[in-house]
Parts: sequence; structure tokens; C-alpha cells
Amino acid sequence: MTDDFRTLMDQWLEQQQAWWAQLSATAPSTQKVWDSLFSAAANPQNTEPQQRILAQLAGQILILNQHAEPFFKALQTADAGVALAEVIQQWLHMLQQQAGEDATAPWTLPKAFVSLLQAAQLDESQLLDGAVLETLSRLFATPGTAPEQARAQARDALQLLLEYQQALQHYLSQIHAVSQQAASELLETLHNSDTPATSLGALHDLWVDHYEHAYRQQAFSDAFQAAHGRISNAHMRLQRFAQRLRDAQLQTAGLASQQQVQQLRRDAHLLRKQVRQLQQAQTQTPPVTEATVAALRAELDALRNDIRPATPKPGRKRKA
Amino acid sequence: MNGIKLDGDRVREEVQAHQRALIDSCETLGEIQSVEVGTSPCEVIYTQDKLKLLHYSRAANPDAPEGTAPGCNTPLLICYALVNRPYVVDLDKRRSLVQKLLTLGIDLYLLDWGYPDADDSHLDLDDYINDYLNNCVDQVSLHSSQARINLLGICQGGTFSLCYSALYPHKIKNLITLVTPVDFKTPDNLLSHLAQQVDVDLAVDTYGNIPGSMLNDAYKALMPMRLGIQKQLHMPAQLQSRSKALNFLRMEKWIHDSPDQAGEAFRQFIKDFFQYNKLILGQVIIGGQTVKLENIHQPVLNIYGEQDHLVPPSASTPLPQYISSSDYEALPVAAGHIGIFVGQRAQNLLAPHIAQWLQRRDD
Repeated sequence: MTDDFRTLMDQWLEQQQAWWAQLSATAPSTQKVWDSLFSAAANPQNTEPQQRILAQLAGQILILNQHAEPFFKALQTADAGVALAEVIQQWLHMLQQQAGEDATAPWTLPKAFVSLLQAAQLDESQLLDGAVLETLSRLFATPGTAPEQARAQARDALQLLLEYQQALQHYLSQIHAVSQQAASELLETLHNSDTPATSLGALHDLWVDHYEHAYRQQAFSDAFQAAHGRISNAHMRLQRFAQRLRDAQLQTAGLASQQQVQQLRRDAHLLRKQVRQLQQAQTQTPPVTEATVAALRAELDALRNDIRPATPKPGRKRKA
Repeated sequence: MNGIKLDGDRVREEVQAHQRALIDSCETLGEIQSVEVGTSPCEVIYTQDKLKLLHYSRAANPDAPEGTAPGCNTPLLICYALVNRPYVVDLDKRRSLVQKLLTLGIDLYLLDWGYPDADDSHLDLDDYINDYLNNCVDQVSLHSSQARINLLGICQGGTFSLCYSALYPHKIKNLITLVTPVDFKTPDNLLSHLAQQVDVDLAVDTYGNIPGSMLNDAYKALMPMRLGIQKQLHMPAQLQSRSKALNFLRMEKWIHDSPDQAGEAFRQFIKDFFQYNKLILGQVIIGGQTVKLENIHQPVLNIYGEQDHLVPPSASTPLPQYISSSDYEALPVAAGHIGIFVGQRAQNLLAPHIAQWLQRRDD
């Protein structure tokens, strides 16, 4: 870590401490400092986990201020109890929103489709519009593609996008139910518990405990399983569709498609397996010993003797 | 609200302390250039495609403390899962099952499956078990001059080891399963529950090899809040000193070191094991042969984590119902799926128990 970086961080910490001491209306630009931290630590050659962890730590400081400040302000007011209750409601709302974003992060719209929609200047809300089909058809119209084929592809893309949208909503509603349950049970705990949480950290740990408890209850339901399966499959279908489009473009350009390459790999694998099976069969065949050969030879001689034609009788001649 | 008692000054102090801890964490991280894992010296005695078979010997590990245990003549082969990397058994010198077993006189081999790439997408369970694992067992046997060997399978590697022992019972002297799923459809198995409606054919058709990051997402979905934001908030506490940070980083490195999964093997494993639970039904077919767990007659030690959220105890403990071993022992360990390898208490229990169990059956 360079001295410059350390100095920058010290300055930032001082600013933060001063800000928290005064809690003035405007915060110093934390983002600038953390951006600098990234560039100081960034090394594209580095595959170690430090970079990812630095990113997570940097994210924390923003969230920390965002979450802590309202609590601090509420506690300064004359009617702190009422203000605190309101802040807790807002805080829970933020946590629920965050839970939804985190839960759906693995299923964001595949990049290929984001680009597609952007290229058509469409947003997701326009998907039901009939004109979208025409716009998408034009996008799929590449040299060598018949107009009806482009239209069919556009229709498929739309169907897949709609299914994805619905699946995402379906899954989000399950996550929403989890966070609702967690929030309401946490509020109940905060109202009734005899052992109070005395720090923001403890309060957050309580949220985590309640969320995980609610999650396990909901996640084991058939409805959650179905929603999880549906979004997984809808997301994969979109990915596969994008791949097939790319394959078609590769073939148009006279290049081998992914499917063709896969077929070659499949054939090579089958061949390798057959070789292995032959080798195994060979090692399992009992070795032919000399005794076996001698016995087989004797048996062969005996058979030959049996079938050898009798010596022709003298005086009989073959006809010419 | 009785359940909350906050004070403005304390909140301010808490935030400031957390900020200081964040800065310290960044400084500690900045001073660490590389994170070494799996450092116990070993010899590669066999390779095939991307697979490596490693041999750890006492001679090559002079730093391993000299043990007083009588040792074992029969070598032990560790078969790890295809997911994640096998160096979790040798994360660092202090947390190394490898070092501990060496100290206890176990002649040790470790199967490293490597990182499958697109050329391996058609590898199936027949390849992994009848070819790769079988060859490794033969190589260990040859290298150690022992007709039969001991096999220790971890997680999915444990399931593979069960299949292998059922298919080649004459090659395995003693079998140890560690955090190994046997019954894949118990009511508390969330991973299995969430896998039921995922279209595996579509997944393999789409990706070829299944990306390791997808599996990481699936594991995170088992405890999303605890493994997400809470873990992040507690990070500064793990990064306050260089040695603590290194421990944390080694674990992080391992967690995110997720090889892609060969598509065909993944398809078969998810469908046959997770979705149809065929292992306990005696319906798994590998390379044309049916896997019959009742063929397992050898002594079996079944170790599971009492707090394992990935392979709950209920998935491991039914094993004796399906095998024919008269010598069976279950060893519950008060740890989770990963803590069983890296937790200090678990480490102190695990290696000595394994070594003693093997020594008693080393006639």
C-alpha cells in the first residue's frame, strides 16, 4: 500500500469522523476516495481474492452511512422513541429492497438481450406492444435470413422475454413474502424482547436471524421451489436463444457453429470411450498359454483326421 | 420498544469504529501480495487428461511433527468432489488434514480432478468413476505395492467412492465417507429441494460445462443473508491482522475457486442422484453396470457435520440401511460442511479418529 494511498485514506477517515461529529447536512465525497482505493489495489494480473474483498468493503462504507445516519438523527430528537420507530420502518424497507435485488442478481437479463433491447431502443415495459415485434424482426433480419424467419425469431424472443419477466416477478413475490415475514417478526421481537439490541450491529444481526428463519420456512415450500425452477429455466432459455442466434450468424459467415463444435467433441469423446472399453476388454481376456495352444493344436489335428477322406480304392479311375 | 435500546453517542462511536476497522482491513489487504494454499510437498505420481494423482509422504514432509502412532501399511486415497478444489484438506500448515494424517503415519494420496474445459463437456460419470477413479486406485495400489487400498471420499467425492466401492469391492479395504450425501431427498435438504425443478438438460444444452459461478450462487442461495451482507459486515473483524487475514483469504480463495462442471457428468449427477434419488433405490447405472450399495461389505466410517447446511446429517446417516457392512461406524462432528476441515476442534478430532480407525483395520 503506497504512502499516498494511506494519506488519502487518513484524510478520508478524518473527514468522516468530523462529519459524524457534526453530522452536517452534506457528506464528503466518499465515492471519490473509494474509487481511488480501487485503482490503488487494482491489478488485472492478480487473481487473488483481495480485489473482490476490497470491492465489498468499499460498498459497505456507503451502506453504513446510509443506514446509520437516520438512526443517529432520530436519536437526537426530543421524541426519540417515535422517531426511532419510523426510522426502523424505513430501514426495514431498505433491507427488503436489498434482499430482492440480491436474490435476483444471478438472474439478470443476459447481456445479449440487454444489447438487443437497447439496439431496438426498447425498454422492458414495451414488450407487450405489437410494434415491438416489427422492430425486433428488423433486428433479426440478417443477410441470408428470410423475412418470415426473422419474424419467427422475433416472436420467439418476445415469448422468451415475457416468460422471463413473469418468472422474475413470480420469484420476486416469493422473496418479498420472505422479507415481509422477517420484517414483521423482527418488529415483534423489538417490541417484546427482554434483551434489547444496544448497537446497530446487533440490530442487523437480528434482521439476519429473522430473515434466515423466514427464508427456510418459505424456501421449502412447493411454491418457492416452482418459482426458483421457473426463473432458472427462463433465464437459461434466453441464454440458449442468444447462443443459437450467434450460431446462425457464425454459419452465415461460413464458420463452424457452437453446435457443430459440440458434435465433434461428442464424437471424439465416444471414440475415446470405445478405445478404453476395448483396452479393458483386452486386459480382461485370459492370456493364451502355450498349453492352451498345444491342446487346441491337438484338437485340430483330431478333427482333421476325422474329416480326412478315406484313401481311394485301387482300380477306380476318375472320369476325365 | 423493549427490544431496542440505542444511544446516539454509541451509534456514532460504532460507526466510527467500523470505519476505522474498514481502513485497517484495506491496509492489511494491501500488504498481502499472494495467498498460498495447498503447500504440503507432494509428488505427482500419475496424470491422465487434466487429472493429477498426488502422493504425500513423510519423507517429503519433514516439517510434519513426528508422530508416535504405529501408522498404516494400507495407503489412503482421498477422493474429493468435482466442485471446488481438493486443497481444502491442506489449506495451510495449521489447518491441514494432510499434515495431520501424515503425522499419524498414514500414507496419503490425493486425487485432483483439475479444471474441466470445453473439451471435457462430454465426460460422464462412467469416465469419472470407471476410468479416472479406477485408474487412480490402481496406481495407488501399484505405487504402494498393496493389493487393496483405503478410500476416503469427501462430499460428492464420497458419493463417487460409494459407487466405486460397490462396483469394485475387491479393490477397497476400508471406506470412509466424509460429509457425503446418500439419501438426496430428505426434507431438510434445501439444495436438493431447489434443484428439483431446474431443467438440467436445458442447463447442459445451454452452457455445455456448468459454470462454477452458478454453483456458488446456488450455495449462497441456501443462506442468502448470512452468506451475503452479514458476512461482509463481519469481514473487518477477520482482517485486522495479517495472520487472521491470511486465514480468511485462504478460505475465500478456496470458496471462489470453483471449477466448471463437465456437462454430462453434471446432468447425470443432478438427475439420477438429486432429482430421482436413484442411489438408494439401487437404480444408478454407471458404464452399463448397476450400482448396488449392498455390494459394500468392507468396514465403513461415515463422518458428517452436525451443522452441515449443504449435506444435512439426514442425507448422510441413512447409509447403513443400504450397505452390507457389519463393521459400520458413524462419527458426528460438531461442525458445518466446511468447518469440519478447517475448524480447530474438528481438526483435532477428525485426523486422529480416522487414523485410529484405519490402524485398527490394517491387518
